[in-house]
Amino acid sequence: MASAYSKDLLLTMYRKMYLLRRFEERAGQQYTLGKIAGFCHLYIGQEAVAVGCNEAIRPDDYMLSAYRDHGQPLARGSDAGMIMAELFGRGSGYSKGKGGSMHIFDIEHHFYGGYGIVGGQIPLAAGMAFAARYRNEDRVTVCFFGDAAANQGAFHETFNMAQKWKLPVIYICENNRYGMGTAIARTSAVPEIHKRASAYGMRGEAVDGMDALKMYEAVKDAAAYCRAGKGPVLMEANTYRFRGHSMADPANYRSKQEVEDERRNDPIPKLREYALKQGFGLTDADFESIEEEEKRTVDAAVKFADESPEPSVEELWRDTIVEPGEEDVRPRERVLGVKVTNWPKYPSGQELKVTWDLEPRAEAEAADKKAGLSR
Amino acid sequence: MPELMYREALNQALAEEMERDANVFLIGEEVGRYNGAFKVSQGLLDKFGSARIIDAPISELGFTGLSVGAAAVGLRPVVEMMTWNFAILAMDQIVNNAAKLRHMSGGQLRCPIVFRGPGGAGGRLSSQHSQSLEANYAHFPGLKVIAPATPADAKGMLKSAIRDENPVIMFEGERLYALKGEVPEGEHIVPLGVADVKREGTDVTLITWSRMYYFCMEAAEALEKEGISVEVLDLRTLRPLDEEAILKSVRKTNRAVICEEGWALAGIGASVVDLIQSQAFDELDAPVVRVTGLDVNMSYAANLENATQPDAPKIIAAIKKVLYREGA
Amino acid sequence: MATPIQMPSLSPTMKEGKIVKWLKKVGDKIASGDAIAEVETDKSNLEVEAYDDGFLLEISVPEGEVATVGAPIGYLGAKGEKVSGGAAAPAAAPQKTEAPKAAAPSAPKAEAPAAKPPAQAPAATGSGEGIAILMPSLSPTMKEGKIIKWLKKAGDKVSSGDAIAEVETDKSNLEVEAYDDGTLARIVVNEGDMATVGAPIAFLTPKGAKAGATAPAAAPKAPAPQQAPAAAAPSAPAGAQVVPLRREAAPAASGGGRLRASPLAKRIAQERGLDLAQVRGTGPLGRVVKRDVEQALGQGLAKAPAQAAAPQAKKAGAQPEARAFGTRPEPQAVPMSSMRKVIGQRMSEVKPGVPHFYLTVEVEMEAAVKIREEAKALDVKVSVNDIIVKAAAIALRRSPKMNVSLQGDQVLHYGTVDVGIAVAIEDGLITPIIRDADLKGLQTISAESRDMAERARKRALKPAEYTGGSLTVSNLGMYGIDQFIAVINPPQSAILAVGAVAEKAVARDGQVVVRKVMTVTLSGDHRVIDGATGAEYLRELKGLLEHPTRLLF
Repeated sequence: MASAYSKDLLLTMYRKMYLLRRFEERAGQQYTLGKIAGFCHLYIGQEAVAVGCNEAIRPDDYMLSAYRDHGQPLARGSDAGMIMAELFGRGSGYSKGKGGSMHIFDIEHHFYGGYGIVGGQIPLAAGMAFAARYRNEDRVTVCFFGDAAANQGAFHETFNMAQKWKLPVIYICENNRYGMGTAIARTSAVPEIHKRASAYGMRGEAVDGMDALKMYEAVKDAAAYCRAGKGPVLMEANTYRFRGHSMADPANYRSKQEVEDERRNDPIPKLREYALKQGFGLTDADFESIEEEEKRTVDAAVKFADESPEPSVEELWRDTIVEPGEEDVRPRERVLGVKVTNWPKYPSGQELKVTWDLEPRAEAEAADKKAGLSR
Repeated sequence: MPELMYREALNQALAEEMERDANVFLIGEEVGRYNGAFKVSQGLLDKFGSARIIDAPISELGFTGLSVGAAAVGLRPVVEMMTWNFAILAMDQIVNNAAKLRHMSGGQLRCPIVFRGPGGAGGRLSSQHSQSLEANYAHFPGLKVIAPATPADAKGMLKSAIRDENPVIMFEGERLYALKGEVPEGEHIVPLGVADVKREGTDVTLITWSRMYYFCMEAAEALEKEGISVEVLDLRTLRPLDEEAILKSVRKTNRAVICEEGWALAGIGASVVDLIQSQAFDELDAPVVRVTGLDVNMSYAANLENATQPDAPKIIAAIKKVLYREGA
Repeated sequence: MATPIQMPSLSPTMKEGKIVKWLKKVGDKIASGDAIAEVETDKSNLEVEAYDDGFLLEISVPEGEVATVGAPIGYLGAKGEKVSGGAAAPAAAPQKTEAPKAAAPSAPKAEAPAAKPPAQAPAATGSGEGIAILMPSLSPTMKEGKIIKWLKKAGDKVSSGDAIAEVETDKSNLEVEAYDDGTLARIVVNEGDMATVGAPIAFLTPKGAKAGATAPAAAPKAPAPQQAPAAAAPSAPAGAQVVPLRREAAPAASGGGRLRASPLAKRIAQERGLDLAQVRGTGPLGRVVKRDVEQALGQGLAKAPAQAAAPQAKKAGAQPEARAFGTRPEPQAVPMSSMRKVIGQRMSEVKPGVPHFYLTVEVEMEAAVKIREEAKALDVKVSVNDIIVKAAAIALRRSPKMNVSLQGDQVLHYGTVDVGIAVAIEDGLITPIIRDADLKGLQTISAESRDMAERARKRALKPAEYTGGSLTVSNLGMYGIDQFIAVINPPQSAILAVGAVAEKAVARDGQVVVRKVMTVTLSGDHRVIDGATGAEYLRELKGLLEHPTRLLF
């Protein structure tokens, strides 16, 4: 029986999910060794969401996230060492060590950041989708947020505009069931987040976020919908974090049994078992060698971070105000000396022709006429 | 030179910049078909279409954040706040996102965006609608804050703000919009961060910005008849402060009065006083005195409203105080 | 190979953790991410996670025991593998055969070999004696001091900061202070006896310690001079070490009540040599403001000649400008040029020590004497010597090459003009320094000179008041001496020997006339100053004294 997915896709997904898992395990360990400080939110358990989604969109689509933000850029292809260095607060991090764990930005890979104020990135994503629409680009924006962000005003204000203006944005609510230590049902009148889309006449759906292939299918479909100009999508990815909210969280608000049950639903072995059955002749050894490679990648990332110096003190005075003529910083060029070629370029104000009619004039005038108004 | 109202000068600046650069768009409540709550955007919808003159829902946080996102990927939004009182709802997006995008991203992103709207007392609007909030924004690194007083400065500074690569907060004034003044046509640019000596004098430096400028000029003219020569320094930009201009004038007159519409505690004038005492202590012949809004909420009753705000007599009294001419 | 499982840091403040429960037992298979033990931290109970796959080979810290962060609590490895004590862990896990009670607190040893330094006797200077109180160095040149008086006696309680004895140094009488709390156990150097700098003069029993622990052996009454030179070292002006002289601010000229004046008025008054106390303030509460100062200056209230700081002085071109008052730039240390070094060496070969050279000049003092008379008419006390000090200072400012001091291999170039005045006192001589003499009015110089001379005679000068400067004025005119040669007071580089002002017959324009004439001899340190430099300086000084109006520019 021919598989619905290519061997390459399955192995890529497996590799990325394992990378995310291993990266976070080591990040957790480095936190306990005092190398990483501050807040550090691990993605362990939720890997299928980021990876399934990333494989379903184009590399030049925009993506942004909340502060649980190590997984998405890794899925996009960011340099693991430079993310780890950012976690370590070193000058070779993506943000020169100024952002830390909660603020990973990799514009080269179109990852527009991790944001620390719950729900604060939701309107930004609509704005990025707005810009794409304004410039007649067919790219979509994917915005991740947690279940607790659904109770922020930004969520409602933005969905109203996004739907009204048919913005090409996919909102993925990673529902891991707890907003920090509070179960979603304790603070939400409607805990099924995707249902809230209906208030705005917006497409909303729930997806099994513990299954990379289901995520992949759902996002692929949603992206096509957005690119067709049909408007935004709210997708609720039901998932689970195996770890506490952050490294400082003992997670006493949920039972051991619950965590153990969920661990049996681990998306990584699930994908492996699926792939083994697809008739590609894959064996456990193939997966183990992928794991070994990714372990080495992460070991190298830790070593790179650990050996990197702290940012220079002169950095204090950079990156607050853009000085006249100042260029944007391209991290991999700055740190690794590689030539970055796919940095975003925007049309100049003279080149750009705006053809979008956000509120079609003819319709508006007809409505006025009907109402007996003359403007 | 043509005489224009402040609002017309702003309208001219917007139209010229939107003509020049298709990345510029205006978003806000009632900016489109209504032609602007204060008529600043009059006629622009017809000229630029509904994707560039956007009537937003009453969702200050939402459309502010949306605009910040658009700026992060290359557009140059101008966000109209119907008044700055309402923008308090959007403060998270301005402070936590717009002002910090470049920093959090380690220099990868920039946020060229203008947030503009009227600040200060409107006139018989009571406490929620009569606040001078510029000090709040001037507090944050990563923002620029401007508050032009004259139509010419309004035009020239809005054009500079739109071309700036950073988030710029622009305070206009409900009671400024109808004031007239000469405005140069076409490419009239006033750089940000540069204060302007609007009136030269030798006895005392009177530092101000936005609407208080007019009271200061009134006071200066009255005092001239008494033989007191007042130098009026219009800061125009509140962040970054033009420290050089302030110190230069104080070194010349050895005395200073600061007039601001907002409250005294943690006000911008407090920072100006600090600058003067730390950098020009030996130049001072008298303590620096501030004239500010009273430390109360704004009332609706006309007499209470007037008493709350600075005016020319209060400024004159302050100047006489620093000149040791009380009762003179 | 077995890998250690380390006690993790689970909160920012966690230093150690207690194993509440082992969730795995030895021999269990473990996967990365498995919880293996429960740990109690200072904040809460958390799980320790494995970061590698393998089998639990050993539990090193049993339940209920505490381990510091980073210490191994167990070992992971291949099935059946043995934990080799040496290879796997640098500090072997505690042997379970040992008493477990002892093993628990010792877990920290895995962290660092020198976890706890051995308890030490309080690091005091005197070993079994308690704390030694040493003869302090109270002046830059002090080598030894004489105990004049003990202010505490044995058995007295002493707190840090207490004065415990009075000491006579080469310069003045000063107090010795205690730096510790305790009881004065024993006095080693009696009143009237000498002790070298750094030698113990008494012993203190620290607070809480038993007094009179051991009797000291052989208390050196007057320690031999060679004793403890090393201890004294910090105070010795070792040649190589150039330490910018940090000084106390010059004492205020007038010590009266608080005078209200604006910062600007104060500045102008100081620049123009105006005594603010004589200005009527018209500001609030009588505050003196700029217009008051200007009015006073217009009325000629500025009795002292104003300083050369007037803005128009800028036109004078090459002349270095006066500093603003209040700021005292640190001297600039400049390494000696090779030529200077050679000159220095050669001169020292011929004249060891400080190689002096001498320049003598006659100065007509008619105009200078007139100033004194005018001052007298205004009831202001100004002596001829004050005018000479002022002129010497202005000349120094205009001859920066003279305003130097040799310190080791470096030449200090002073940014301030500080002039010493030689004061004869009973049994000796001391040279207090007039700071910023170039900026001060004659009245201020006069008041300071008199005050310092008075206190010098009482031996009440502080060391900071007689150190620094580059030049001293030594005046023996009052003794009727016509002319003499003075010895430089190192590390200064010059001294002016001033004779009496006397009427002499001199030739002027072919006529013999009688003039008030004074002879001045400059001694210069040839290692840093040359004859030409000194000659230029004297020419300037002569010009200033003969035409004192030049002091105004």
